[in-house]
Amino acid sequence: MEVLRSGSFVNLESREKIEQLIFTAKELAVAASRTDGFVSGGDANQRLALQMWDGAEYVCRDSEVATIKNIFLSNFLQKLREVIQQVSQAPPLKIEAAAEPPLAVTPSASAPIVPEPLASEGVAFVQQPPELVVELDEDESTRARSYSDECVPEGEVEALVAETEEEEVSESVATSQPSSVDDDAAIAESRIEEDGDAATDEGAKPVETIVLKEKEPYNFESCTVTAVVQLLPESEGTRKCVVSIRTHDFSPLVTIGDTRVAETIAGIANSLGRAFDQYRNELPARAAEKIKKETPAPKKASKTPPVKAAKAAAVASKTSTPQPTTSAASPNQDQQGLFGA
Amino acid sequence: MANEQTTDSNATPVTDPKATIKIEGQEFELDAQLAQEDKTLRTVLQPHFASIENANITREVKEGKLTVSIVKKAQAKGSR
Repeated sequence: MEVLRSGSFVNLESREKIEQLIFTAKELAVAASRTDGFVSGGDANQRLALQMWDGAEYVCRDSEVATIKNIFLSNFLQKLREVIQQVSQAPPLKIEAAAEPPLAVTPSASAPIVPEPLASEGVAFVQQPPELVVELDEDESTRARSYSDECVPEGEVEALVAETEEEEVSESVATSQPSSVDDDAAIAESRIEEDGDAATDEGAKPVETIVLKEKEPYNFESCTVTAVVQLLPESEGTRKCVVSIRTHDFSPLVTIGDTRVAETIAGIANSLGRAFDQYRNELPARAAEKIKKETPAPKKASKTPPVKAAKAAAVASKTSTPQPTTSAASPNQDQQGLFGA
Repeated sequence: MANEQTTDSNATPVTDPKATIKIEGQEFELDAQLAQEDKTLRTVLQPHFASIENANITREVKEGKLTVSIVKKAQAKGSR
């Protein structure tokens, strides 16, 4: 399996690409964890994952970006956690090798796991409950299912990642005691607290685009309404408030009202409200007028055949008379044909 | 600003409270008190019709009803 190169095109339809993506995410996680100065932490891991994604610059379809990014991030973070746990387990495991067999404990969900200091050596060590490993496996399967659950909105990518992390950490909190696990619990709590903030992480959310339709409906609530408020200079304690409302390419509706200087804001609100109501009532009529102007041609086209038929009939009656008229009539018929085209 | 005009006092007085505005092929009604002076008219309509800034404004009063025609000027090529 090869690492997916930066800038590669990734699509959900190609399973090979997705598997390469997953492999790449895991490889990157392993490489990142081995980097000098790497510090594991809830937010740090997420930021790292996002930076890895941004740096990879994979090309995806707009409709698939969220899902593919989710796959990458979740696999990256999962692998990173695995590596970190393996690293944290490694030293104690060496000690355990010298200890008694019970330390290689089989999963026991019911009994709380208590660290067993070696009586002979008086060494207290940290034991990571193997249940975590088991549960991670389960999570892998769930994550495999999440791959098939493709419809993840873009904004929920990090929330989803945070949730998967919380599941693991919450289980670790329930089943373990030692200090390192306490640290994980603290991290989990901080993650839970910052869950809302995770979604707003810098650089994670693309800027929302407001798209307006080319042809907006002629409904006041469903179209773009441009309102302009102009306050004219004060005169005798009042200011004239000119409110103009416009939608589509209609002419603006301009209303004028007086507002007291001391109650300018309220006056503006009242003027705006009145103008909105007036325009809302007038909009259907404006739309109808516009539609009427835009569709006159079909009616005119339908009228011409009967007229042409009448003329043709009149000409035909004339052609029954002497020949000179027929010669004169035939050009007329030809000309009628021109009009009929 | 070009064409600073007001309604000629010697002309027929405007009695209709609403004036007809013709601009960019559109025609609509506007309060006559806003339509009688160029500066006011430009200020009110400029947000909707940017071309009014340098447009030619002509007025006509017929039977007390004011009609304002606004024709935009074609600027010189390359001008800003």
